[in-house]
Amino acid sequence: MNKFILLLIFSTLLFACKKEEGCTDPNAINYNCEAEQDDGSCEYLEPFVTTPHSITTPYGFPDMLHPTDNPLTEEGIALGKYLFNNPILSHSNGLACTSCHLQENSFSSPSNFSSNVNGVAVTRNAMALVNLGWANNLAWDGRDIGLESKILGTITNPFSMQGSSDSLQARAEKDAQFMTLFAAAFNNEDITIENAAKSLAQYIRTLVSANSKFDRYLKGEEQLSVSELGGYAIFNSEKGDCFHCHGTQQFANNQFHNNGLDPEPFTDLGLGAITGNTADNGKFRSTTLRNIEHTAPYMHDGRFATLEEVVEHYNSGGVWSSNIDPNMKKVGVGLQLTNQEKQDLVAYLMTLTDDEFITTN
Amino acid sequence: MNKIILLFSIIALTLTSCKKDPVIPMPIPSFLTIHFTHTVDGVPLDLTTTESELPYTNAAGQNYNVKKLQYLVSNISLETNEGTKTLKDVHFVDKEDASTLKLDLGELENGTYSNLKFNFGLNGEMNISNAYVNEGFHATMAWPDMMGGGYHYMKMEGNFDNDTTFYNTHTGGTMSNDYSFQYNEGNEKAFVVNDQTGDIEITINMDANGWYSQPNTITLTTDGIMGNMQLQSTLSNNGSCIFSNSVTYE
Repeated sequence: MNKFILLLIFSTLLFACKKEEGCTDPNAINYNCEAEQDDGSCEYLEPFVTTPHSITTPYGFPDMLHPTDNPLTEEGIALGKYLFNNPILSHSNGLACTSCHLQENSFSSPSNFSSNVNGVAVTRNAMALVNLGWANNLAWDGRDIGLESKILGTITNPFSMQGSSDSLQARAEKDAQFMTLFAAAFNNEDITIENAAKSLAQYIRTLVSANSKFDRYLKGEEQLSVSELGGYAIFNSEKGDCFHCHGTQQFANNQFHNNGLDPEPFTDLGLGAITGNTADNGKFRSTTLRNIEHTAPYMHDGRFATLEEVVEHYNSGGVWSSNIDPNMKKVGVGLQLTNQEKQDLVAYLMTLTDDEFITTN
Repeated sequence: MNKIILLFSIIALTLTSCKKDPVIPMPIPSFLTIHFTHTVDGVPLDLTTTESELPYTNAAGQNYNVKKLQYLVSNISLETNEGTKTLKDVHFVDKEDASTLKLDLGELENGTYSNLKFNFGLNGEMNISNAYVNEGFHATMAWPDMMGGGYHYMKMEGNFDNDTTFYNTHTGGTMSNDYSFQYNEGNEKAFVVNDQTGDIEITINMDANGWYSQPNTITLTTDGIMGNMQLQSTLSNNGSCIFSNSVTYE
């Protein structure tokens, strides 16, 4: 009996001294706060990994502009592409990016003025989304610096998509595909309109157009017609003087010019409304001419329906105003191009079409 | 005897206590800055005039204004005891952009510096299409391949005669000719940098009216001049006379 009591006491003491075992690493998913001794059972989440995406810089292009906090990833691009084609970002699911930026139109709109989320027409033509990874001053009037800022501005603008983080979060919970894509791109970050804008910026940076007939001509892979070569010569001489605003392989300088569209007072101040500087009134961004064949109507207000009308505007010399660009040096006189020269210029502009960009998804 | 010792001690103590340690001044680094300024006949160039204001007059008697002045200078260098010191390969000046009017070139080592030189524009070796594709001036200054390629040396634009006529003085290497020219101030403004010199400021001034006035008179027209090799050559000759520089110590 005494032996039994002694064994019982000994056993009790033994168990009382034994430390509780378990996972003691606070970073583990099975962390045991009561465990005093690690038993090697800790389990961890797989580290969050995204797949870097690289874009080959086309000949004659500078290095692409990349914000350090928004590198290109396959997952971010996939989310951006989904959002581009889905109305989830806009107020009451009214608009997707594709509502105004159609691929067959080089991601521009065939309408002079697109309608906003409330069905009201906006005051500017939807710009083509081409090679924007190399542009910094965006929108017709330069209101946005950087692609992320431009996209966020468009999504949240009450006169555009009128989106918000709250409305996105409410809809996201019902959209399993979005949730999957978002988790892959941003892990467990908050679902915000800012992160959505980042992914859209990544996708839009992948919209690279540099495989037109003219590009192939430069590589010696294709020949231009006599008419196209004639237009090429006019474009790149001061006879046509197109290259000062639409030069280099980008066919844009992405700067702001008053190209003689209207007399004063201007109904749309353009850059002047943003800077408050009257010298900037009537100035708008010179956009790329790549795929210009498919981006009608032309100018910030879509006033010209055809390339022929655009050429005729410049051939006329434009309308004088107090801050018309000095490059419009033939104002009042005109370029005095012949009909053949005008046709040649249009023919050359059409060699800037990148069929793959327009059609391949 | 004690008095002699006492006197000697007082004199020695006095002499010792009056002696000061020599003061060795701390060396001061000398940072070099080049400023680009612009005048018309000695008066500061003003781009903010309206089209109807034509404040300047060239040798041809034409009144004009300047709305834009952009240009490239290259191979900016100084001669030192150890040879030529290249300060900057290419620099873009835009009169409208104050950040381009000041070029910070870092610290100068002690020595004698002379012969400030630079090329206006880009020489034939440097004036290659897309050579500076990542520079901010690439799209602004590109010169079409059909006219020889490379970059504009200069864009000077504005009105002349009245507010509806515009000139574009665009210079460059028409048809791959080299119309760049070198500015070399010679030895007159040599300066010495030592531990106490302080910062050095060099001002390079362009007297813009000289483009049209000396030694050759150029008449402004609305015609483009980029394909005009004769005029490009004449402008190059005129341009080589219109720069000056000064050196100041802070």
